[in-house]
Amino acid sequence: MGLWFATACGPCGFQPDPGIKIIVPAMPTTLDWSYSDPASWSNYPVMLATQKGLTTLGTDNSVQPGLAERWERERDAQGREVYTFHLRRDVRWSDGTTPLTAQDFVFGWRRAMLGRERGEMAEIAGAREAVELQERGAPAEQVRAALERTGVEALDPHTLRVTLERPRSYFLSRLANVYLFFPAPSAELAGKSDEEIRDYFDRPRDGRPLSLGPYRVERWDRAGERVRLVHNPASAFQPSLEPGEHPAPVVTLMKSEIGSALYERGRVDFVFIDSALALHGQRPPDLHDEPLLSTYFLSFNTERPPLNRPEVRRAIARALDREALLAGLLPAVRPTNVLLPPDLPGAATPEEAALLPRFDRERAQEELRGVQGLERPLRLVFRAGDSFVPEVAIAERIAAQLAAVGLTVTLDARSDFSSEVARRTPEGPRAYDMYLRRLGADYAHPNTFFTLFEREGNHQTGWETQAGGEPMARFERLLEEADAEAEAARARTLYAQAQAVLLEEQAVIAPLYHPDRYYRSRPKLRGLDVDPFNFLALKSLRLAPEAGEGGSRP
Amino acid sequence: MRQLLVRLGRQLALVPIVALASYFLMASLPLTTEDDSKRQVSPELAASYRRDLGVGEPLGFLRPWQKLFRGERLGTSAQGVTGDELLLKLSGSVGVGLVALVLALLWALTFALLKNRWRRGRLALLGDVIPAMAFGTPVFIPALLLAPSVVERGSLLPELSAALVISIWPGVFLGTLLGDALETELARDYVRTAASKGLPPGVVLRRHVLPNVLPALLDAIGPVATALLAGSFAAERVFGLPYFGQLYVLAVLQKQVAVVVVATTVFASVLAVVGLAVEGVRLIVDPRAREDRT
Repeated sequence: MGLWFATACGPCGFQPDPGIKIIVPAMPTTLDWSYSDPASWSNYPVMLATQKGLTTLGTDNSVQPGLAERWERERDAQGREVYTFHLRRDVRWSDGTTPLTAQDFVFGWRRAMLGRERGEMAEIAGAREAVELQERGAPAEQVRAALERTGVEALDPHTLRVTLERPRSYFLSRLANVYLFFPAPSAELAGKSDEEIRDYFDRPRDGRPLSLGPYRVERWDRAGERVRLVHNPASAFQPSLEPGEHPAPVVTLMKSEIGSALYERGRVDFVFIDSALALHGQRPPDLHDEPLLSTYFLSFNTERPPLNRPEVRRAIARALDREALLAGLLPAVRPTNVLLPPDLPGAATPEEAALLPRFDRERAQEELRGVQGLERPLRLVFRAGDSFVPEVAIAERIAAQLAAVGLTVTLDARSDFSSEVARRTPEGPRAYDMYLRRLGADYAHPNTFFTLFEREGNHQTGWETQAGGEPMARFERLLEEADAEAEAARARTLYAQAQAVLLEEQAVIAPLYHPDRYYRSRPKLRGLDVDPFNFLALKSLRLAPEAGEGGSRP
Repeated sequence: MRQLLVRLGRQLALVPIVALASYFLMASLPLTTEDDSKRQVSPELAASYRRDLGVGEPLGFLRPWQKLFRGERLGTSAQGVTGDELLLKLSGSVGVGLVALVLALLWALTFALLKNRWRRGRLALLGDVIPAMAFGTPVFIPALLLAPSVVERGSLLPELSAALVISIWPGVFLGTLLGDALETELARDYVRTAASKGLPPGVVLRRHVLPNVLPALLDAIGPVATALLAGSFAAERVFGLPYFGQLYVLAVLQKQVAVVVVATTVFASVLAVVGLAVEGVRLIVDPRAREDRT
């Protein structure tokens, strides 16, 4: 025991990491970006700091060159969409010697096609066939042969050709954000078994796994809930430094039950504000906010009277005064009546937004007058627990505003929110009447906001049954056309039409506001923020000059 | 002697019993079934169960240990552990636990003596109030109060704070037992006889009373060690200590069943070691135990 004690404590026991410390809401579930899992949101901060995509996003969320310096987009004879990406030649992996090659994409993407999020890769030509073979338990040789036939090919070390089954206008946006599309260091991984490859990523040691971004993972202490990132001087994607600034040599991402208290005492350098209540009172000078590509909305159960009638749902959408719903709850709010946030490329124009249901209490009262079934209290379900969205206050104000037009609303905060909104009554329809939910973009394209509401989406509103399914079929047709449309203006018009079907014609949801994410960060940290997808962004992090070093804040 | 061997045997038997019980309990969970709807875990996790637990193989229950001794990983690549990692984490927790045990004994002795002194005074009520407060306060409350001041400070502060926090309940518990035993012993004739011969009270206490009281204290060390280990789970989480308690909790949350089997057995082994140490101490301090040997 004495030996154990000495081993544990040594001269100094467990010592906190030096360098920048950042409190994150959750630890990664894996560092293997090609073989991620459905809980992938918690993996993003590490992946985005250590890897890069073929494309990247500009400050206006438009698609810009990333690992690919340029690309061509064309249709082949079978109507499939073919991208030819020309890779940057100055990019090296973090060992400083291994160059990035097109084979790195082929290797990584083929692994991803058989991984836990293989559905994300389904649009690549031939990927479905490989997945089906794997799921049928076909011999490994057969699956491997199917993978060889998929539409991702290295034409030469610097040219990658990708063939999609159908044209997809959002593909380039996805390449920037969805880490399944990031390359893997094939020169290091070729010939290794699946288990060895997973260990390569999940058990960081000796400078591995190699990275391309400005950081690489040096250590992952699972029990300590810490990931230690160190600066990668070989990265071609260094933050641009102002005079006197320098990159942060060590960044520790950590989870703590007392993150805010540690920030107050100066022990950590960055913390998310995960409680709307914490935003009340005087605004601290180091409080920042990031407008998210996200929409918080009220959703209706379209199968249950009286909400099975579009005119009733539309009237409720008109009865909600979004400004008043959110007044005083947060330092700043962006109330809305549209699904697509204004910062999103392809968002609705003000003229299009004006046609969608918005606050008009008199009209709502008029439309609800005499409607049968409104005497029944409507049950509004929302997620219980702390959140940066003030859900309880919003729910209470919705109940008050709907009371003003003669509707009774009962509130139901649920810790089992997802299963509650999916629960069906013995009669058939789901048991809730309305629910509140936040939808965040996975990539900077309108498509990401609509997939939830497609027939196979997890919207739980039952609107696919409305009018014999015709509106849903039309909605999906519009999306299909928009997704395939190469011309941006035409695609935008089609998405606007799809939005009108969802919000105006069928009034399946009533958007309320576009949330912002709040966080506190030390002034010495520059460029450290949250991206519009609600992920910690380390790619531009640099340290301000120490006192006496000079330099000025950008 | 026979009685002593029986007691030692009981302690040691705990380890294989827990090892087998935890193994078969984990192996019988529906996690390893071929049926996806019942399994509800990823194929990778299911494969790691079969591989690590040696399900369906003769002597499969030895598989987790075999893998650890070979230096192989137990569990999935992302959440599993190797033998080296396990030992390192365990050493941290044992270190904290030993400090906590020493502190608990210190609190116990202090509280027992104070309680004895307060017995007939105005402070007698404290002898009841302190245990009530200590028993009614879960470990995480003092931990949360203390944590903001010590987390990320290093220099053993988080470890010492964790030890301090988890030692309170066992210390007061032992102190209560010790106090009652002291009270009984101090009322006995041999104490009055020793005092009437002119021995100072401190000498009477040290030479005559404590040797009679210590066996009662030793009997309680086992349950106290269990309480210390259980308390370390909460304390390590709140104080951000990357040791065995955290590893155990996360292994359960992340369904790393082979790690749970090993960790549970290690947990039992630690308790058995504590039991053996207690028997050793008993031999030294309890004349009756020595008499049993002859």
